[in-house]
Amino acid sequence: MKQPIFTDEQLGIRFKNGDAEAVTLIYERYKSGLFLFCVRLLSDHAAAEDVVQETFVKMIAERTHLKNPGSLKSWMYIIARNEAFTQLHRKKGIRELNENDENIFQSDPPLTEFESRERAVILEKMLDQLLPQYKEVLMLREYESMTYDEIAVVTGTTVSAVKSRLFKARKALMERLEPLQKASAL
Amino acid sequence: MTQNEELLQRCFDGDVNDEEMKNLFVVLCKDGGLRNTFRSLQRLRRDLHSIPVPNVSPALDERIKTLNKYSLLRLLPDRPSLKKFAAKKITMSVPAIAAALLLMVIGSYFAATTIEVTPKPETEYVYVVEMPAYVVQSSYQTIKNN
Repeated sequence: MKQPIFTDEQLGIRFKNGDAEAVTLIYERYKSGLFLFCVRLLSDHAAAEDVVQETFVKMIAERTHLKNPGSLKSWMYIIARNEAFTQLHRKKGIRELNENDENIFQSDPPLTEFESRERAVILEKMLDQLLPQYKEVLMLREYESMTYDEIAVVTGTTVSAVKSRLFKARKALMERLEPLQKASAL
Repeated sequence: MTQNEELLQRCFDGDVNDEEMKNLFVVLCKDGGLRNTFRSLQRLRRDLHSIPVPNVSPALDERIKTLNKYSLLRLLPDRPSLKKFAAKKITMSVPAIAAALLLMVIGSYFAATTIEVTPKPETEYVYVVEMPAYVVQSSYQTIKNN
């Protein structure tokens, strides 16, 4: 028998009221996106799994704090994001963000090393090198199709900061990919 | 980020109205650099979506399943009586604070006063140390006769 499709709000209400089945449905709906978001932020599969698990532990424990059941997804991403950043701080520390800083990469991946590889692999490596504050906005926009407002809520910043970070991240990636494009055209 | 770049990005992310869309179209017709940026953005999006997506491991599925199973207790609906109790607040804060202060003053007065305790009169105890022999003898005779 086919399961009825619930909206986020319906799921949120059921979850808040202590429906264990709602947890399973939420997990099934968002596991791929949430896991991908955590993997990209942490660049570590095992750590990402831990963060997803911890997110659900916290969600269950603090379900009464979910004020608006319709914003279940944002709330879940806020918890996951905070958990991932805690892990990043613990692991290597995060550079204090200077919005005016032109360099938005954590380190400089030597491009020549990747020249012979596939474009997607190169891009994945570049993503890994992005500062997490830029990486998160790009992930939430490109893979989760969140609006600027939603991203601002999840990341705890302003809409203008989201737009600016998104633009800088895209520009930096485009600039780094450009030489490869030229090389492949030759 | 220039104004046109901001507009371009919003259009790219589907965050513009019809009017802004028309304006952007006009700008794109004039500005070759912006057209290139738009093409690069499209290409970047294609590339980003071509990155292989990592699969969620069955182990994680199992972990969440177990977590859900053992957190059933925590998922039980809240007890309304507890909720009601938790929601109770001291609304008359000023009288409550005044009463607390008054209690403190009275308490400190009693703490400072030394209470005089009147000693109890000593009880006189009479101890029978030794019983005279004739008493013992007569008692023995009485018991024997009876």
